[in-house]
Amino acid sequence: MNRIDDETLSRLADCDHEDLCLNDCIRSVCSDSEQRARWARYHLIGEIVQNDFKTPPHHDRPLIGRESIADRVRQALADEPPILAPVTVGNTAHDTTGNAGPDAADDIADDTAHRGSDGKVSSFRPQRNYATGFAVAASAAVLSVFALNWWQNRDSATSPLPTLAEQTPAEQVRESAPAPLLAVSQPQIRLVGHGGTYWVDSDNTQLAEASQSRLNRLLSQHIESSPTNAMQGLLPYSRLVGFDTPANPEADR
Amino acid sequence: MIAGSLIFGSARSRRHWRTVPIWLLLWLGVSTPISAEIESGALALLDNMATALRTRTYRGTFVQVKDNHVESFRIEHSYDDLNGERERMLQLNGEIRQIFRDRNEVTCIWPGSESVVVSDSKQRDLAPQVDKQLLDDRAYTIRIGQPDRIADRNCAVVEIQPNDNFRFGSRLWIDEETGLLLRRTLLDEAGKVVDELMFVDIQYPDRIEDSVFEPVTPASESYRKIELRSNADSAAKGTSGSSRISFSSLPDGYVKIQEIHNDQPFNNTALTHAIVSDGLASVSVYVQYGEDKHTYGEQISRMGALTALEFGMDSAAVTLVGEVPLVTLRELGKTLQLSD
Repeated sequence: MNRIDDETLSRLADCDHEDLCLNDCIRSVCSDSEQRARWARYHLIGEIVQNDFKTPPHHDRPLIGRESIADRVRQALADEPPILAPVTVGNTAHDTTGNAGPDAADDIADDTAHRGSDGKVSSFRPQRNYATGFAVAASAAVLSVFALNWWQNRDSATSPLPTLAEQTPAEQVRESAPAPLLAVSQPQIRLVGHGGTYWVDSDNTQLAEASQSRLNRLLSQHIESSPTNAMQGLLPYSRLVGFDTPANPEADR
Repeated sequence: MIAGSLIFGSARSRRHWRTVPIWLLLWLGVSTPISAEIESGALALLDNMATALRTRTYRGTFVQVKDNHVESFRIEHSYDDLNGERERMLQLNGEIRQIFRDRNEVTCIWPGSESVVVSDSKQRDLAPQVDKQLLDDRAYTIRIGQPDRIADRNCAVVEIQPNDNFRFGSRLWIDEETGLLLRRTLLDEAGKVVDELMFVDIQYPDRIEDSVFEPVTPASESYRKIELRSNADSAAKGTSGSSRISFSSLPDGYVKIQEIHNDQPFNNTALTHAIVSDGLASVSVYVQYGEDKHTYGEQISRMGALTALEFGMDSAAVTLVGEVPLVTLRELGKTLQLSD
């Protein structure tokens, strides 16, 4: 007896077995624990998606809950802002605004079920389930991005504190193409602990401002005068840009 | 591409022609023998790099890593016959610090201290300033490394290994097509990277708008303009070629290449500035008279690969600054001699 493949097993679970040798298939499933487990999973997943759980006699509601996954997907899609509603294809119904309406959601949900060759709606196709899962995950991701954007915009709109661009005079942040980074409103940024780099002594202690200023001035002269630094154009100045001059540079003169 | 630039580009000497077959071999993936000719080709690359950094128009973003601290910068550089070199550097992290440089002045805008510092710029020679005697110095072993790719550009790699402890080694990534330096690492004697600079994006536009290079002083009245011009007063201009600073001996490969004396550069005290170089590394020696610092003893400061050594000598404050190991500064300090 040949072991049946997963596709055949899936068709069997969907009752799509007209051209199959049913006895061989059943024997194959019964003799293989892995296939038995797969058979059980296919049915379980199919029933969850279709909310085909029968309420056990001792329960007053289905085991999984009153709403099936398909129902919840349908409801989530219906609740989404219009722009987020997936574009439906084929004969999907649309409301007069062009947005996908409940009927469209029904179609999408129905698409998770497979129609057999006889036109009968079969209970399950694993591939359809993957597509459904992917659609749910993608919807959640898109929602997260939009929600984050909305949250950030709300923060910047209501914050009494200036944005980074506002903290500096416009003339100073004049930018050239191609990246006008500072011209756009940015989230609130606190320049915590970003004072650049400084001269430190042999104990790694930052020098006093007067010493910093004096060394910076000499370093500036060194960079400008040294012919070997000149070989590198303005690049050596990046060391100076990391410095802060003290608020009162003349103090140490 | 490299061969192309050597043949059809600047092609300043016959040495370039001599190196072409080597580059062709490199292109074909043949392993590189270490030879004088290869070193000569590496020097040609350095020559080309020095020229490209001054004569190319480019715009790019680079990062610098020093002491585990990463900074990112945008740089724009333009060169034309009318305006000469014009440059702007903008710090991309934290507060917006900018440096503008043209043929006349260097303008630094520091928002943190709300100051605009303006100083003189020195005229840069457009001729390459790589020391041609490097090959004979025995200070470095220079070789061409494996080609690499930086910022989506194919690069030739020049490895410079010091032969003693008086200088750092370095590795340079040079754009094969344009000759621009796209990455540089400085390595200490143990081969550890002490400073790294690398472009992550580079463009070569035909021209950059003039407005980019015009420093705009912030409108805020709280900003103060600080002039550090030595030519503000003609009497304060430096005298080049003075010989107040000398050394009884110098570390192998180093020579004193420049000395300038200013009677009143800052704070009404005289300052003599000498530069000692081995062709790649350089050390500035400053002697500030009337600043009695000898009572404070030796002071060592450091920032990334930069080291500063300060001490007092003959009623003068001596400061040595350079991208060299501390032992080099100490050696120079020990052999320093001052004269009036």
